[in-house]
Amino acid sequence: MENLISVQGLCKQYGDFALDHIDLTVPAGEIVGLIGENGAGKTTTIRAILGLIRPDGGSISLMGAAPGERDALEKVGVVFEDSYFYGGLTARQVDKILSGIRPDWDSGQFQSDCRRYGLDMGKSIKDFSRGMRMKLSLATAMASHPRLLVMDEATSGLDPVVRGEILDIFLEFIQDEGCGILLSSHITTDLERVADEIAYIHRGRLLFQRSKDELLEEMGIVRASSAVLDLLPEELVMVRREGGMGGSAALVKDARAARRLLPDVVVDKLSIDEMMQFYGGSERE
Amino acid sequence: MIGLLRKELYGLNSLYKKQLPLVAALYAVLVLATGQDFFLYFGVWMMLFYSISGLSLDDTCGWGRYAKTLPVTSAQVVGAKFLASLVYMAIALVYGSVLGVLHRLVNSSGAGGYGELFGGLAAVSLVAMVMTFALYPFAFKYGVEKARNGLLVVWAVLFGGFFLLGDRLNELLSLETVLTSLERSPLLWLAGAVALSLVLIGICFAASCRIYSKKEF
Repeated sequence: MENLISVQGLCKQYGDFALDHIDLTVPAGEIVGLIGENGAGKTTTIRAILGLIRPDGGSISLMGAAPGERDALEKVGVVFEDSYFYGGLTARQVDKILSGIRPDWDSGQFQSDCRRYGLDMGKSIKDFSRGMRMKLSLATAMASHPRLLVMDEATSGLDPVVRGEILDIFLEFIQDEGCGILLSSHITTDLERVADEIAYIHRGRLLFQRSKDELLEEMGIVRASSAVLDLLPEELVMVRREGGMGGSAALVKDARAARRLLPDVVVDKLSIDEMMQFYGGSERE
Repeated sequence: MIGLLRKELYGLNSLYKKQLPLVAALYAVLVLATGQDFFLYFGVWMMLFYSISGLSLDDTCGWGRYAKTLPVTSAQVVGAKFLASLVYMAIALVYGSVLGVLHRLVNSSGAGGYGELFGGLAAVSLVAMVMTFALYPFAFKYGVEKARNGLLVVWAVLFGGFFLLGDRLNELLSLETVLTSLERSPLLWLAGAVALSLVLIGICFAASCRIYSKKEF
């Protein structure tokens, strides 16, 4: 399967924060959800992929080219956390601007998307709600018929209805199997709904990139005393949390294997939120 | 490229759409009432200075970061800004010329000749262009406000120095010889000034492109 994004050994140092040998791929036909706590390195990774920062080490291939190369950028649509157009402009002006920048710009599609999203073409962007601004950003990303969408916190701060609409647009986009999406988000329920793979960055390191279904079906949380958790083989345990009100717990790679080994112990199914809390919580203790 | 230029002009026009007509009307009144061409010349400098605000708009909305994800080169991004400044200067020149001619028609005895008007506009355009385009590399590097304030101090020190030097400046630069030469061969001086300005603007453009291409967002 073709990789639209391929990152290997990406390193970047900023004072006391470092991206540490990140490996990440976005295959064609898939939505990869990038998760991590605030300041974990999601945005820095995305910036490096898009060529907005120069990595200290590692290699990045964006649509088969180096980040920042014109040919690659023609096939990439980008949505950041908020609109990047001056608030005094209108959607109509944005259409005219981008039609003079992007070779594959489809004015008809842009106007049709704006109508579909309920965006007034003549209204100033500053008078749009945040949800409307995000829809405008999405319309601008889609109107050049990209093969890859890169979204950094595109759904954060939006109400569930708007988020649902935007996620539907993603699913529609991915119907073309040559296309892919890299979606960074704090809202893990969104990723549970649309992502094919989850990549988890924690303190500048990529802990894993796995199929979402595998992750949610196969991984689990074993809740038991420390003595019982000690019976689990080391290779099965991803991270362990000691003590607390509910006793100790361990995040395991294979919930079924854990159940077989400890038939009398509770092995809970996992959500992405719980997994993140588990990693974060285990380090705070 | 045309899209980038449109983006600059739409942004600036949106920012100044109320202010510019008021300033234009005020200058018209001042020129006709006081008989001073100064306001025509100042208008050119002011419009070029206004055009730099395009970079402030970029900073507020994060356009610079987005522009780096578009299939455009650094030279195109910077070039669009330089062109927008030239468009704004051209508007001021046309307005200044029309107002200057009108002033001479209305008040033929009090106003200077047409040579003075157009020569003055040409001279101020060259100086203002160099001052504005010299600001761009610093604005890309340090942000518009810091660059503006920094260069204002530099110009103030430079021109203040000329005033403070007074007669000594005359001795140092042999101003009388210069002025005599200027009167004898104005076109040669104009050509020299244009050539020097173009070289300086070229240097500013190259420096801006280099700074923008290396800038991280």
